[in-house]
Amino acid sequence: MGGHAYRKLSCHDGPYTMRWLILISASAFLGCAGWAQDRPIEWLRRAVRAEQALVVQGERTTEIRLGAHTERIVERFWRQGGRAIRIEVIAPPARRGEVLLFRGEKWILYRPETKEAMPLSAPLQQHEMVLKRLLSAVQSQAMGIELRAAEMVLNRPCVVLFLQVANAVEPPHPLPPAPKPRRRRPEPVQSITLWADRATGLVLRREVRFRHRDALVRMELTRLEFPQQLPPNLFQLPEGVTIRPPGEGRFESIEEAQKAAGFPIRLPDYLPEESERAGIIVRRMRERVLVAIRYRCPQGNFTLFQTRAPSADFRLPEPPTRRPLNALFWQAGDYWFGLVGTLPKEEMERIARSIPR
Amino acid sequence: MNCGRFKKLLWSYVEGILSVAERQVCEAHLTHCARCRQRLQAAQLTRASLQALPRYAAPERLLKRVRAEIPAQRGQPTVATMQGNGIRQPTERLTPVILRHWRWALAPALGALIALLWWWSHSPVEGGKGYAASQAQEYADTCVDLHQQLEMVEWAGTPTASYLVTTDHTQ
Repeated sequence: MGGHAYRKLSCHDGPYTMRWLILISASAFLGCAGWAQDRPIEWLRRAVRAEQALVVQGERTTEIRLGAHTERIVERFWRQGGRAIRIEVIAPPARRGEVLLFRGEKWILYRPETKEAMPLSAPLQQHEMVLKRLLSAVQSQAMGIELRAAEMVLNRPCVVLFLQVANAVEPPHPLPPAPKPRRRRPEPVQSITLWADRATGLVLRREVRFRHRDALVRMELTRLEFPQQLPPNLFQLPEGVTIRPPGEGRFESIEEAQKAAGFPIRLPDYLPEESERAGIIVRRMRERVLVAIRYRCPQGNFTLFQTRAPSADFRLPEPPTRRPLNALFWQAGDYWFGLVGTLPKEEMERIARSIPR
Repeated sequence: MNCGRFKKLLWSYVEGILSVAERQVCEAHLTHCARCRQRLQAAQLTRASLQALPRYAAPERLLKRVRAEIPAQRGQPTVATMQGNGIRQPTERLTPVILRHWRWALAPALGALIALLWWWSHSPVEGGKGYAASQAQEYADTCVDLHQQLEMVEWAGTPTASYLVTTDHTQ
């Protein structure tokens, strides 16, 4: 009977019914595909692909606001997908002319004035990395995402994606002894808004709002072009450039950082559970060197600072208070230490006590 | 903003001649730096002391003489023209004026003395305890700023921001 019914429907008695079925299925498929394409997470995926694949050049401005202070960075960029990048700094004026080159997964700082170049030890943050991080946060439901009303940026229609950290408030638990809920990693970010080009998926503007104080990062492209290809020499160092090891910046290994700092770096014996090191920064401050070791931790990110103390009097009068930050400063022998972060004070004191004297 | 920069702007802040943006930066720094708050209090105290000094009215004779001299000095007159106008030469005139009106010169002198004493007691001497403490405070401020900046640039996503913050591009 079933075979008969099929034959009847497909071949003889109902050819129009079959056509209708195919038409309806195709429409449903296209409708679903269109709906999926317009889902906010799909736009985020598209933005990642645009960063990886497009050949672009242009200019962008980034404003970093912390309290009343705003730092403005203006740069020209040329990007061959995610494979090669050239950035020329225009502002701040003190760093104008410095060039950052990325090729083969390595960053090089080039100073044309002095004809010197320094391979950077640790990778620099890129838009693609941040977008991937956001994608992963949305997928794990650590962040919510929604589409907002479309806007124009650089005369191009953009979709506006609004991402917000999911509510960290834990639901009230019944009477004890309920196990203590595992705390979510407290990211400093509150919300992120992305303006993605409707035609290409490229993010043309981004605004990041933070939980701490009045902090904001805003990036906006002020010029954008899509050349067919870019000359390869844009991403190469010119001839006659002296290459020397970096004396400051971000490092991934203690050994490299130690070489740049010029003194043995001390590490704590105790770290809170699930803490992980997220880079070492060596920065020159006047005649001294300041080493900052970044740690990510579910209880709160923190940074351990150390420098060689110039004298016994190099002690801190009082730790600066900027809620919700905790700060601890102390001196041990000829070292001066600082610990700053959102970690609870007791944990910070425990870390401090564990640093070899 | 760090303590060094605040110290440079301190007197302009006290005098109220900073731009709105500069004043806001100073105020933001003051909210978390107890030492600079102390500096500000001391500076405000000094200014108040200066303003509280007694003011003496210049004698009418002196005012007349000053008014008479202003046009002459603008035109850089020769000795001959001055004598022609009945004005005595400076060497003859200055000594008795200062001696007679010494109280007039007392206020700025006292003010300068107080300012000098304040500066001497507050300015850190290189190698001294005050200098070391101020350096330590500057390091502490930098540590807190740097921690926050590093947290922010991780989300900024621009390689340049990430690079500039780790190499002290600005304060």
